[in-house]
Order: sequence, then structure tokens, then C-alpha cells
Amino acid sequence: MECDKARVLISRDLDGELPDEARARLEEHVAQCADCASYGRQCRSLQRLIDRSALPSQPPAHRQTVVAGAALYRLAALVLAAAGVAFLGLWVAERSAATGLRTELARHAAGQAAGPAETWGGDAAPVSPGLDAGPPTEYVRAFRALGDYFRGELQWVALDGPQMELGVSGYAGAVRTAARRPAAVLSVRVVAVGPGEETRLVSSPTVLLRPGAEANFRLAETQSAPTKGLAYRCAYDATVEQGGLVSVGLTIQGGPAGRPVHLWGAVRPDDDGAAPAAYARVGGVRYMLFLSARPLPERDVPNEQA
Amino acid sequence: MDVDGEPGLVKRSRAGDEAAFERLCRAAGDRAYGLAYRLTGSHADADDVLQEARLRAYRGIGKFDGRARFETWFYRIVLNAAASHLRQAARREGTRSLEAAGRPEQGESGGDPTLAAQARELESALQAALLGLPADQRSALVLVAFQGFSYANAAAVQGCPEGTLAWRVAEARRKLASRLAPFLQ
Repeated sequence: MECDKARVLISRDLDGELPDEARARLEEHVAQCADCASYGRQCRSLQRLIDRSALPSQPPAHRQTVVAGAALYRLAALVLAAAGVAFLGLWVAERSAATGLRTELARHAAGQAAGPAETWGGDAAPVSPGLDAGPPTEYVRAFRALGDYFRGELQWVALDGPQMELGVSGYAGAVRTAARRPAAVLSVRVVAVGPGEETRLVSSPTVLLRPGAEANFRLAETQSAPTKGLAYRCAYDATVEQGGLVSVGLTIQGGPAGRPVHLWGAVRPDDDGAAPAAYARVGGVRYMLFLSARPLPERDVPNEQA
Repeated sequence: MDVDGEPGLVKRSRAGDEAAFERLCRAAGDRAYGLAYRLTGSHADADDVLQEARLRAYRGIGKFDGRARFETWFYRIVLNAAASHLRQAARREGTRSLEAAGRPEQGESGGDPTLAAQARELESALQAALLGLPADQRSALVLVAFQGFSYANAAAVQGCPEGTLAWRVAEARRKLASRLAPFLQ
């Protein structure tokens, strides 16, 4: 028996895979070959090392389940945001009331367990909405997710508001991520939603964010948009990756108070938009940030780039 | 998971039942993760690989004919995903640092700090040596020696004859034993 063949049989024997008919010949060879005998000892010692080594099981926070429904995955754990941070600055001049929206606001407000504070999850203090402004870290909540794609919406409801002059600019930055896949895929659009109809105002191209990368985009210059009886909705598509961060922010400037209002929320995959993530009242005008997320249908999942 | 139940879960998965697919993946669970970890050397990479594998499996479940065990089919996807992942990483980063790749993940420590340090050193050396093996030998050894696959099942995962699998395991052991000689008694 040659040593090459003997080593394979020695390895098989260690794994309980040695054919009975080969055992006698193997033992005869090993008895006469010091090199193969040494190989056998090394294999047994190595296997003891392997048996003692830690079995790397998936950390509980990393576990995930496949999503049911129309999407690819369902997040079972908390979402630790990906790497994309979308910051939208919105300049709004209000000139009209929205009676229907007031009813809706009252319904949401009644469902809140929040105390009498006028603001929560937001910031009524002046905030510079420039493109260099990042999210207030105190409002950023970290969640964990793994490779899930979802589509979300920001909605804001301005009561007692006038006709809007709408301008939108955006900034997206990757905070950090341990993953090497695209950190976030973002596309943003702003629509005006009225009873029974929806009008798309502005939209951005799809932006791929790599870990540590930043992207600035401007959706449109100021546009005049009718607001009476309408809610505004800004939609985004995003994917979250391990180790990153996804938060969505809204800054509303202008309005009767003359101060910007800054609302932030961190997106969770089970956000259904039923309750506001942030709320602020400035100068008699109430703003609410609704976040909703639903997994993307597979056909809408963007292709990854190398 | 009851093997008799697997055909039903596979059938339902192919019909679009995500809950059934989730149960199939959950059964593969930690072993698949352990495989991904040993093939890549880090939890972050293992997460990426496992995520990619689940995605590929979900998209390709219609092509799984059910003749093999789901776990076997899924593990082959994990192997391919790990290989792709490492190739892409090598292209981006140039030569992969074996020392960096073999660095163990930070974990909880307890008990004797000397023993803990020795264990970490061994784990680091073991993982670095694994990553120094050719991909097919590494995966063969992980399947058999780390995860206890039979030769028949491991060969099915790798898509090779059993004799080839046996040679890969033996050769991987020879190389690993050489690299880990200071740790062997």
C-alpha cells in the first residue's frame, strides 16, 4: 500500500468511514511505516483540538428568519440600522387649513400614551437644516437587521397650514457598517395625497450607499404645491445591513412660527405608520412624523453592485 | 426536524409558503452558521454569507427537486456563497491577511485568564490555518471534522465523488497538522 492511499484510509478511520476490508491492510502498513504512524497520531491530536474548539453558533442578535408574505425576509430581531442615513430637509410655507387632516390628527393623538409635553421624539428648537447637519444623535435609535429591503414613508400633517411652497433636498450618509454589501439603497419621492388621488411632486434617482460613503442629492427646487385638505408623504426605499444605522429625519422650515422644526425617527421593519414616531407643535402648527416600512416585493429589490 | 416532515415543507416552500421555508432554514440553523464562520473566519462575514445563502435558496427553491436532503442542498449553497464572498473580498482587499482573518471574535471571557488566553491563541491559530487551505479542502474538513457530516453527505454537499471528498479531508488534515504542530501533543 502506498503512503498516499494509507493517509486517506487513516483519515477515513478517524471519521468512522474505513471499509472493513481495508482495515487489515492499513494496520499492516502503519506497523511498518513511521511516517504514516506519525500522520495518524497527528490526525488524532488535531481532531482533539477541533473537538475542543468553540462551536461558533450564530449570536442570538444575529439570528433572522425568512420573511413571510410578499417580501423576501422578515426581521425577527431588532433592526440595527444599516449604513444609510437619510436626511431630508423640507422647506414648507403653509397657507391653507386641512380640516380632514385635523380629524386624523386627533385620532392619532388620542392613541398616544405620551404626556402633556408638546414635543417628543422631535425637537422644536431651531435646527440648522443644512446639508452638513446630521441627525441629532439622541433621537437615533439603533436597530439590527440583516439584508432586508423595505420601503418606508414619512408623512407629515400640518394643521392650520397654508398653501405650501415645497422644496426638498436630501443628504444620505453611511455611518458605519460591518457588512461589505451596499449599505443602503435609497430612493426618495414626495407626493401629495388628497382624497382619492395622489400627485407625485418630486422624486430622486436611486442612491446606493456603500459603507462609509455619503451621498447628497437634491430632489427639486422649490415647488408650489396645493395643500388644502392634503397630507404630504415622502417615501423611501432602503435596505439595512448589520452594523449600520438607518434613521429618517424631516425638517420643516418656514411656517407661521418662523422656526424650523426637526423631527427624527428610526425606522423599524414593523412600523405600520399607525402612530407617529415624532411629534412637534410650533407656533400653533402641529407636525407629526409617521414612519412605516414594509418589505419590498422581490421584483423591486435592486441588484447589488460588486 | 422530523425528516418525514421535510418533504411537506419543501413542497409548501416551492408553492411560495415563506413560513415553511423559514422552518427549513431554521432547522439548518446554527450548523449552517458554523459552517459559514469556519469558511470565512468572522461573524460579520458569516452573517453576510448566510444571508446571501438564504436569499439564493429562497430564489432557487423552485429548482430543488427534493431528492436530496434540504440541508445538503442548502449547505452547498452556503459553500458557494462563502466562496463568492471570499473571492470578492480578495479582489477588493488584495491579499487577505491570514492573521487578521484568523483573529477570533471578541467573546465573553470567564474563568482562568491564562486558559482563556491559550484558548484564544489556539482558536486564532486554528482559524488562520483553516483559511490557509484551498477552499475545497477547507470546506471538506469543516463539514466532516467540525460538523460531523458523513462522507456521503459531505460529498453530496460538495458535489464530488466520495473518494475525492476523502482525499480532500486527508490532505487538509496533513496541512493543518503541519501548521499547528506546536499545538499538537
